Amino acid sequence: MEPLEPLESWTRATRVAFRFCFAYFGLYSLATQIAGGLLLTPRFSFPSLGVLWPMREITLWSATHVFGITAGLEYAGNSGDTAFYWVQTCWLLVVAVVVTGIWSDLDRKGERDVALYTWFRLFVRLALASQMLYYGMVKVIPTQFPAPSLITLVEPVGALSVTGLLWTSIGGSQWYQIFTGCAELLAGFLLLVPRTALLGALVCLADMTQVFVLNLTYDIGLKQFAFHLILMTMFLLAPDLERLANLFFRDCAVSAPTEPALWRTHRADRLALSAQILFGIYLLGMFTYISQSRWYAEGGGSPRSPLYGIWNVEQLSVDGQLRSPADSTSSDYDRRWRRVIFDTPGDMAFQRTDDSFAHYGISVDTASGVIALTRGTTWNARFTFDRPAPDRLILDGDMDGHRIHVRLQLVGLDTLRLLNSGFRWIRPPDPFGG
Amino acid sequence: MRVAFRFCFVYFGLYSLTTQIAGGVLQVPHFAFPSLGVRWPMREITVWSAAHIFGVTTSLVYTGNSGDTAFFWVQTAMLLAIAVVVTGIWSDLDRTREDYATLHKWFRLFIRFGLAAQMFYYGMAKIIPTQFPAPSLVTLVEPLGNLSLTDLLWTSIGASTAYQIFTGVAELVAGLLLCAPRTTMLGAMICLADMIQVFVLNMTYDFGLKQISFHYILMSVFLLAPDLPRLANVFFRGRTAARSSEPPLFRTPRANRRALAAQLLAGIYLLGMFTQLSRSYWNGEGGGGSPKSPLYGIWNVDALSVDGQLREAGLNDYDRRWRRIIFDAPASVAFQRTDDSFAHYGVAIDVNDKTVALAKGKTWSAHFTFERPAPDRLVLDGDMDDHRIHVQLRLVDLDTFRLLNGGFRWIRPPDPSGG
Repeated sequence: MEPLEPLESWTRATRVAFRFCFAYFGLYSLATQIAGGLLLTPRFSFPSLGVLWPMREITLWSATHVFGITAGLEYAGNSGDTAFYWVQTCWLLVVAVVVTGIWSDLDRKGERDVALYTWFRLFVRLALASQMLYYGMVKVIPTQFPAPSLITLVEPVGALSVTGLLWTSIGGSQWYQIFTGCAELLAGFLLLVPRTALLGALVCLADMTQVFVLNLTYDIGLKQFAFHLILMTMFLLAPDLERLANLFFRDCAVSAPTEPALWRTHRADRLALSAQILFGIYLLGMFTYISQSRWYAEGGGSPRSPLYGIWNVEQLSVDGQLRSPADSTSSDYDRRWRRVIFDTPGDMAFQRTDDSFAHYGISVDTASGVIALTRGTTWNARFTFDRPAPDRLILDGDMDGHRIHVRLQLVGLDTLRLLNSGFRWIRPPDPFGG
Repeated sequence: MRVAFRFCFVYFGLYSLTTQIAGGVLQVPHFAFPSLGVRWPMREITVWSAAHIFGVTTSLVYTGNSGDTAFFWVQTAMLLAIAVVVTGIWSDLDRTREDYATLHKWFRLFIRFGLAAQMFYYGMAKIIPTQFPAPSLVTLVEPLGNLSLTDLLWTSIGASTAYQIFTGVAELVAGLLLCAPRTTMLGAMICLADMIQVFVLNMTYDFGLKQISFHYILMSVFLLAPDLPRLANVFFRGRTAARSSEPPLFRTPRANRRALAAQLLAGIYLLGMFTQLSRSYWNGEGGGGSPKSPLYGIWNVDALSVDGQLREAGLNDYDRRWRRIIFDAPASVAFQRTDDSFAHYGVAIDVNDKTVALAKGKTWSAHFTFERPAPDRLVLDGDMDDHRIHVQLRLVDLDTFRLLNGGFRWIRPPDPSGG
């Protein structure tokens, strides 16, 4: 095989563009989970440097002194679009521009650009593959979108945020979640092999466009991150755009790809191919392990409360005064319970007659029949419980200085339409549905 | 190859005629070519096969929002059988034929436009967001677990107009690309991606369009079939790929230029027709542009007295355990009971006389007068099921619903309860 030198035709603009991509995507990968996605071991993963010293301090300093932002600089939690991350993206962009300028000034010939490009492309390809395998596996082992919690099942639809509604609707259909995970896994697999990387990048682009638009239209906090995965996909596609245009728009013959090989000899290249595939299998194994742990820790395989269920309040007496469950006003607001919900072992919730919830920490001792509720560090309440029948529960105890006696009846989860619907080959018309 | 083509020709041709696909191409204002599958004689053949071959006699429904009733499964099975038989006879009679270049050329044109019309139809039904209506007021106060899986997805897409428009654009792009021969391959690939997404949603959320969306996938693959070796060269083999081998429709370049112009015009015409159709849905019943009840809103029951007895709603007889009254569309009203269930009634509201007439079925009716002392207060007085009713209502501020308050935020704080 002739050594390929297609990049000699790089114009100055292409060189500058490449150097900017190198600096910016490199920095962005280090600041976020992207670099860490390639450096994984069972017990250790390379952290996102953006939330550690010194990058975090630079971000906080820029936020205060350049943007005048002091509030809302959270970097923990489920949003990658807080003010902190926007400031971080801004300064990374500025640094990348400055680096590109200095680099282009110092190194006008760019003799090493081709080699650097070849290896950087490998990095971006594997980094994207790793993210696709990660997001694919958390859907194939359905943990990204948990099944609707018992609390969500009795919550009025309008009380959910639009994000919560989307999350619940995907969590409601395990098979759809697995399908979307497969679409991401497919992109990841195809990206691992140089020859199928073009198709992999196209599938990845389709997947990530869908994800990015969902993030925008359902206000999910990964707008920036999803957009950067799209940009990195475009970086991978850039050298092939001409060929794709020939194929799809011009009806011309399509030339063979011109990607330079990683090594000079065939043997080394074959070894590199095996290494890439092995690395992909390793990553897949790691992400399977991570998703599986999550499934047992907090997903569908996690333990449930011994009193698991939605319990309707049949009868409630406060300080010896009996009231009907239908009567929603005769006691103080904190005791207007219509339902008691036990889902995970450490939490419980009372649903009030206006459908709002009061959440408490809980520990249930099944041997002695004791329930301890906690809230914050000091507040607590103790109940004894009796379960005369599987679908009956009686709680007795003291709470906020009131003596409470409550009789509960278990709601059959089969009565909830959502848990009763599923795949039907033959589907009758549905007067309510779409 | 030739057998496969004959089969595709017969089967897709029959399927298009029985469903909305043929009608999608034959659009004129105020008239749409009907789906022949639910008319004489195809309907009679289907019902006969159901009874005599499959032994299915019940639920042969062919109206309503499901294209996957037993009726349509029998019809598909029957069309498949006919296509197999016709293919066999045709292959036997026409052994000497080298190829079907001309027939393929024109049939491909039909499939292209059949698919493009469907993409325009479904695309415009989302761009003018009517396919997934915004959540109704009744849905807002319904416990989420009471929705079917289908409704849940329907509601979640309806809740984000921008997402619905995006999915419509994805279908529209496929349709537009299918209208020009040169971009057909890309159009078929986007159509394939769109329809896989739709088909999987249909399977995993139990929609009633499983069969037809699967047929769109098959038709997209039919369009892609001649190009599969080229695509494999580019995407799997890392080789050069030749030009498309699709023959032009006519012999002279001039005729072909005219054919191209005609195809583009046909595409624009179809797009216009479907835009018009979606606009009429938008302004029609249940659409976002349709009129609302003069008493529009979710009204919480503040005080309810039945036969002069004022008490907690939950202590009344079941049909009077109202916690909310909901006026949404002009002609219907729903009472939500304390157990969250709904009682639906037809309603006629006269704002001049201040009367509300409820109706259910043909004979049952109830009459109320209403007062609206303040915009957020409503008092109803009347008789219902021989009970004297007096109810004081308070309007729920729709801003208190988190779902209606969510939207795009550049800077999004972490959400302890969200995903």
